Amino acid sequence: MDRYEGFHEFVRTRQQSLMRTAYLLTGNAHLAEDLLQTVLTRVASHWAKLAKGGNPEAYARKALVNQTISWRKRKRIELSEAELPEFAASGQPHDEATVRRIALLHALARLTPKQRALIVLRFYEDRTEHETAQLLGVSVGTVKSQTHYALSKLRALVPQEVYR
Amino acid sequence: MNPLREDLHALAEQAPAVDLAAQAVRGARRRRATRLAVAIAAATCLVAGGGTVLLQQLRPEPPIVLTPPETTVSPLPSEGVEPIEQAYRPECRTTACAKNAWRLVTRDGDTYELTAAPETGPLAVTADGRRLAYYSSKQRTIVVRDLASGKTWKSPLKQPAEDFSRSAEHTLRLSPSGLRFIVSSWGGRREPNKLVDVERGTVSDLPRGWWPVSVSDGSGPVVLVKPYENSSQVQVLGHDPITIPDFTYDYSALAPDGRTLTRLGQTYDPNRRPMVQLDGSIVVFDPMRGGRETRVPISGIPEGLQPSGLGGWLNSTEVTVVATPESPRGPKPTVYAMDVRTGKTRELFALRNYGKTLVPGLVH
Repeated sequence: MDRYEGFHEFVRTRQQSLMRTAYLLTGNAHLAEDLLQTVLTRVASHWAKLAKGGNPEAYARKALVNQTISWRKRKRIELSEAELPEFAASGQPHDEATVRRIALLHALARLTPKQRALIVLRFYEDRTEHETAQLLGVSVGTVKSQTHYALSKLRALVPQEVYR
Repeated sequence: MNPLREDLHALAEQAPAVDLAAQAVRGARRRRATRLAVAIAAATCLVAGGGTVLLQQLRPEPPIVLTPPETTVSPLPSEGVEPIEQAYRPECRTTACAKNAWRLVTRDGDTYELTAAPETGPLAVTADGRRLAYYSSKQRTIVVRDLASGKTWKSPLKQPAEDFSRSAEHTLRLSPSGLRFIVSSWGGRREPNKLVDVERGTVSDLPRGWWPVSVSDGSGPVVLVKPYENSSQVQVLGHDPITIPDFTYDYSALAPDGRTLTRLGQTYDPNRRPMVQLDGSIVVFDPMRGGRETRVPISGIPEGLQPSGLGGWLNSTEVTVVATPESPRGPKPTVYAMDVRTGKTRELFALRNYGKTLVPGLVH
């Protein structure tokens, strides 16, 4: 029997969703790919056990978060400070949402890896405070306080102050 | 959906399409092969050991009792300590040992425990191993200590412990004498990036967002870098920044000539995973003028180890290189001296690899 039976299917169906989370966690396409590659290698190593009774996706998501936090220094990427061109490719001025999202990307880069993971888990993956606490290995109280802190920081950094 | 959720989803859609299944399986197979090789080697040792026991039973000899090597650790004396070769914080997987103190290993093999430094604060050792700097939560400042004489200097900059909390990242970069340093932290509520001179008692602000690479004694050059997605800016304070074509943090200290900096060479290939890989070379460049770079292949490092960090200079041509194993079960991490003109290395010492390790002068 192939040791990795079912793994290719798992990756084929879930990798893009995992890649989106990895991209939000790192803010950089190359790092996101490296991160996911590392995590999927680990999933493949434990595939026999995970395929039997485990939850490969939950394992992969937890590993994504843990790995990105341990890649602390690598995450300190400065995004290009170049100004956004006045007009989009269509010749129309950029809409408000595009400008706001670029500001959000820059603001996320200023958070600590853990705070960034909190924002992604709570507001992108819509995890409960309890689930987030379990994934990050912290108390629910820490999730609450750090979320509050991370949101305050985002509000301060995104000039439109829309994330109420 | 509120705007934050909406924007996060829109940003996530920008993630590139990937197909990683085959690479992941290849990686897992490599890991498995390594594990099996180690298991076979261990089994061979056991069999060989068993054979030895049988022979000993047939030909009785006085028993030889082998005890596991034990490190004698004493508290760091206030003076008379030899230069430090390396420091490590023992690996800890339980809360019981969470407060493990740093251990300092001197060049003549003594091991001391540094209880004065808090568990989360920075610790740095000058490249020559003779001076130590750490955050003292009691004095709320960085303390520099000469290990031989016991003389200490206190930083004039008072800092709350939260500058070095677990949620923040920090760097303490020392000059060769340790009397001038950069302390910076980010990710916490405050984000100091300060240049401190403990001899003159001065503190000056450094530009935000720039990561410290090297600081010289007196009023010598200070080198800062700022990585971007596919490039980095390098700035010698007081000069215009130059741009290099790599995203990297792997720099050496500034050479004694004050105008040579090195970094580990890397390649970018979108068809390989990871796309950015260290290529086993060192790149020598002028951080003030930029321009022509020299790429020198590093030689003399055994298979299974890869150059992964650079540090201080031993003389005008040799810089320290740390080589770490490519797999967790590879050879011990080792520190080398490398001639930047030829790339030739000579081994200095192996690291103990008992957990978090610190090499004096390493830029990390």
